[in-house]
Amino acid sequence: MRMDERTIMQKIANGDEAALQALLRRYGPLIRYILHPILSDDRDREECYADISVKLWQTAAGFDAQKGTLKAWLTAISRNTALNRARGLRPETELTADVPHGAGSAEDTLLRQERSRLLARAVGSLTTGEQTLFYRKYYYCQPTAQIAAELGVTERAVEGRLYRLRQKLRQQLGGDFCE
Amino acid sequence: MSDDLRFDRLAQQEAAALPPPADVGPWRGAMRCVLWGIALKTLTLQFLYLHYILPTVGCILLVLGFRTLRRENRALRWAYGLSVAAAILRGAAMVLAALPVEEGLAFAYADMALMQGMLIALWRGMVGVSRAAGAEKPSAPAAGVLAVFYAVLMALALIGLEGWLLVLPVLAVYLVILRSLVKLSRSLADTGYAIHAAPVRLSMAAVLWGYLGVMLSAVILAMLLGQRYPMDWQPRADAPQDETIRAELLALGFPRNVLDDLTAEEVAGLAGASEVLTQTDTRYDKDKYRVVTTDVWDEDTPNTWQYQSAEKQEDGTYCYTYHVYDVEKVSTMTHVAVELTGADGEKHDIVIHHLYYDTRPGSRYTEGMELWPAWHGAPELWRSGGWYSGRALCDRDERPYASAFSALTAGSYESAGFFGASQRSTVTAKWSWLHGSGHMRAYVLYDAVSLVPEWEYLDSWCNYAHQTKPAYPFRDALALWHGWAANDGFDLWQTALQVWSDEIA
Repeated sequence: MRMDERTIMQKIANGDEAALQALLRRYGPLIRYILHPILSDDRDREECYADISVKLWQTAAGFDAQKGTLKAWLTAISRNTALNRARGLRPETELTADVPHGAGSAEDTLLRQERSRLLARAVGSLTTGEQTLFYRKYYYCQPTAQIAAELGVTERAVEGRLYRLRQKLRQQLGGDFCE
Repeated sequence: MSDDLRFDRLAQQEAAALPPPADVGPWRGAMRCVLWGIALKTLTLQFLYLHYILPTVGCILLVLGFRTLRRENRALRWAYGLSVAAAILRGAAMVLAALPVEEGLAFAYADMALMQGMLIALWRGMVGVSRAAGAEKPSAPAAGVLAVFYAVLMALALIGLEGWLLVLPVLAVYLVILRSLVKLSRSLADTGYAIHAAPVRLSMAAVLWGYLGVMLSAVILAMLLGQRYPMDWQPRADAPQDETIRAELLALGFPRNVLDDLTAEEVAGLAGASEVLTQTDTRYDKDKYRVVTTDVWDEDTPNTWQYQSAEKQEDGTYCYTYHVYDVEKVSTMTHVAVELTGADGEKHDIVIHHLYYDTRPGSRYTEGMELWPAWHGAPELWRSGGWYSGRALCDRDERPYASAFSALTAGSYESAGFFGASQRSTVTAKWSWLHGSGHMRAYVLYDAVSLVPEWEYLDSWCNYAHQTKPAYPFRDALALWHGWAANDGFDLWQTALQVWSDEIA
């Protein structure tokens, strides 16, 4: 499967439009799934989907199968593109798969790197269930109702779990994280 | 901005730097439930109650899986409805299995039909999901094959084909299909992101444990309260017995306590008795004994005596210690045979096995008497005269009650022995005692006709079985005795009337 992904991305990088169509046919539902909770408007989602297609076309050559799966790469691009659209960020501050944050002062960059490191360590220490909840809430930005339906629990239960998750993370991250 | 909002914003911002997570869509979890549900519901392992537990868990997993997918298309909505119906049916079947009712095959057929419908709905639902996700040629072949395979399996079951030669290939094919279905489900994982999970009011854990908990409670309640035969207990209001016949029987030595329990019709049937033979057997509490020491060795002690030890005395003799189990009488069985000549001129022996409880039994589930009548072991000497009777009696609140047995049947079964199979005759009575009652009695009466002018011996066995604890699935006292779980859940008392003609004065 990894070989197929590499081949298909190679074809896209070489300008094979059919390969891009095949990729979108396969991963279209995933991209739309990611866009849905972040962008509430149908037209925004369609425009964002088109933006992502263009990005894939333009950046296919940059895909490195050694660094991760195609699905993970697509997920990161889709998520960040959608968030950028939602925030109305300027092009130069866009989140990308490789550079997730907007450029700022050197001090800001260092601060964000430290936060990311702390967060990665804290998330790594969570249980599988808590990690799932974290990713759904903070990575996919899913609303409580969607999380509840997909996990097969009530919204109230999700709210309770999120509350405990926040407490746990804040305890592990310390006060510096929010400053 | 509140602390929580600020935390959420920062966490969302910094999460971008984390490696993207594994699959989170609703498809995978729901399909995992469905596939496990199908596997558990279809395969049965006949030990440790797994043939009850696994299909039940399978049923509820199917409900949980289809619950998430139910809003996706009409076929999946049908699958959800059918899975709920199957879970309800399963619950009803599990509870009924704890009760003394004949379920028949209706539940099994209904369950198979629901499963078949569910598999077809799953197949169409998966095709629908594939189409909704924009597949060029929407299809779900493995799901279709599974539906067809299950239909073939049902047909084989209905025509009664079974055996290892068939089961092994069928099992192999089933596993291959199930594996294909797992592969299909995985291949649809990306497509499955197009699904919108339906909201729920109860969490998966609440549904799973709630269903299993309710069912377990219902089954336990049914076992504790329902494992009894329906009886028609009424205050005793017998017609008076014929005083002349009664006096004749008593004069011949008919036990008064047994005679008091017979109906007027039964006493009338004993008119013209020429002889009354009586034997009594007593059962004592197996846990209560007295200690007896004696210096006389007896090779032939009564069966209530159990040898414990021998101690050498100073004078060289021995002192023997026994435990004697005759402290508390539990029940008394009185066997009576009334000899008379019928209107047809044939010699009849009316045999009565009468049980009397000296104590109150601790458990009140089911009772059974299986008689091996005189012609059971000696068909060349005796035949059935066709008259069978009997009932159960007791007292409650100082008032006598009586009821017909729940079942009183005469039949035969095939017994496989060293010299081949043979037909063995039985007379069977089944009943349950009245709650809160004492002074409990039950008797069974039958008519044996002698095939020879002078019979040599009369041998009539009474096997009385008392259920001591509930059984799942329901089996009555006699079924427990005939089952292979030796001495589990029942007490058996085997006692007999055995008379040689030369013993009769």
